Amino acid sequence: MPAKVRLKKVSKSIGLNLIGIIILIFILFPVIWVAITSLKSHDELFAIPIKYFPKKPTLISYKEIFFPGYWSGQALLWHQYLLNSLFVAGISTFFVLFFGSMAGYAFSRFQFRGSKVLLAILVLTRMLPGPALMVPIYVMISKYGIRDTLWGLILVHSAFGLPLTTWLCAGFFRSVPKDLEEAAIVDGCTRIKALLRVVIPIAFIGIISVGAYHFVGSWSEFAFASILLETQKIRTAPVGLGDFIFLFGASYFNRVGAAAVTMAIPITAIFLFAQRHFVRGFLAGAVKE
Amino acid sequence: MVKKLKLPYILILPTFIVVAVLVAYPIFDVIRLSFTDLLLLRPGTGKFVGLKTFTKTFTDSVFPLVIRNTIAWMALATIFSIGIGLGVGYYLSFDWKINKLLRAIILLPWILPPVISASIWQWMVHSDFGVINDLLIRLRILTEGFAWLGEPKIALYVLIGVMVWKNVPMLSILLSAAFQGVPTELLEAATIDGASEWQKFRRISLPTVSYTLLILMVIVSIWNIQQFVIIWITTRGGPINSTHILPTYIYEMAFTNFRFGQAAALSVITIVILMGISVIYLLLFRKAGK
Repeated sequence: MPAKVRLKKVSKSIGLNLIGIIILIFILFPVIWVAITSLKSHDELFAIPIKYFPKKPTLISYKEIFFPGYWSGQALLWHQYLLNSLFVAGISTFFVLFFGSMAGYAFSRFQFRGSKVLLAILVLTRMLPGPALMVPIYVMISKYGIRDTLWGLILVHSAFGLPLTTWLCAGFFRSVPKDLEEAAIVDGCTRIKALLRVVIPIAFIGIISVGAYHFVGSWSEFAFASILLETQKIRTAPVGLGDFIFLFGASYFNRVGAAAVTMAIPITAIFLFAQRHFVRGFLAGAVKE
Repeated sequence: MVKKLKLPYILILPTFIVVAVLVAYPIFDVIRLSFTDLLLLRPGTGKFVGLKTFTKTFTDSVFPLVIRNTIAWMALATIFSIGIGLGVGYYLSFDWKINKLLRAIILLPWILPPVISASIWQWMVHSDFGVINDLLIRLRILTEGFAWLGEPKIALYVLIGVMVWKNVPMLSILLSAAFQGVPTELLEAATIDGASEWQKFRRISLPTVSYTLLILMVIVSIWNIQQFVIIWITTRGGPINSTHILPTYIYEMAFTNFRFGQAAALSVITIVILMGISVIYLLLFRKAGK
């Protein structure tokens, strides 16, 4: 290879990698920055000029958010908030998977009157702006007497999650060959048995990733959680973090950072595990239709 | 036979009941509420007042600003998210070494709860201790810290930037998948014919993903309206209402001022605007389909 061509090739590859590195920094820096900030002591938090690497990294902020006794304002019950979020996201994920896969199965396997219209209606509800429904939903949940309970929030999260779950589950079930299921039925399985033993195992990873997707959404949801939950003890993590930012904001950002990191870790883990299916499911549901 | 016919309806029944009660019914209820003077859930309020809430909304001095902000938020956040997502997505569609790493971690901002994204950026643009100001001072672009979220003319655009940061990862992953669907024979043939990289992108790759692009525009517009949390957490619509968009204004009207009737009227306006946007997109789809 002549030297000139080689030089051109090298400079091109450097240029391309540089673009990649710039993208990487833009994406990752804010995330790393919050983690670094959470490791700063109070003095280092307000050091000027800014310290990019804390000289004495400390876990004090983590200690303080989990043991509010360490500092004066007892405003944060962080472990309680995380548990509440886990409860809401866990139960509502179970609900949407159970009922969503039932409905998804119906849409994927039966041609019944109105099936196309009904599925289209479900998909269209995804287009509704949630914020515009805050007032009527608040009024309704109050009427049922389940405002300020975690069950009320679970119901709302499930209702908003079901359309997409149904839609994605239908897609995954459709990808399981009908012949397999029919063969099992010919061999003496009941329809339910064929579903449990043949269809669900094949579509399993897909279904789990749909569940992961819903879990992450429910875990992160702020608007409805903040209006429906009033008692401090039953607030979820996003609401707790929101309160905390509003009350203390910049003066305790190391604690805000610590809270953010502990809240982000579970969903990041779930996400890394389900990432590939996540994207594939999202593509199947959103783009290909 | 009868049993067989009923089964699918039984299977979809729970889903439809829940969605009908909690998603479909509220749409009608919000219209009803918008004609009342409901104040929180106070007994004695909630009487029918006709169009009073709407006339009050349209004569409200903040309302034009809110509409202007909503349009800016929707348009700019969508255009920049799609534009940058397109570039990054094209980059990611190649098999370069760095892309393996990029693809593995790029979705992180997208997965983070909006409350966290908001808090991270609020701290990063802090006037005294924010890293953005520190970098700009080091680069001698600024001489002293600037209150990015305290300046009414600028705050909204800073928040649009945060929204774009959050949207771009998922868009670029989806678009890179679309770009990878471009037939390689076509690209190779173009290379042999002496087409430049830009020509290949413009004439082959871009037309292939145009349909995906349209759908993503719809999705991103909805994301942008849903994610008002980024504004609510950082500025609560301030300073001087300069970052209020319709959802934050609804939130404030309903749950800070407790004027439910008024908030319902704003909600109806929001739904109408979004429906208008959806119709425009639908017409575009039709055109693209032909």
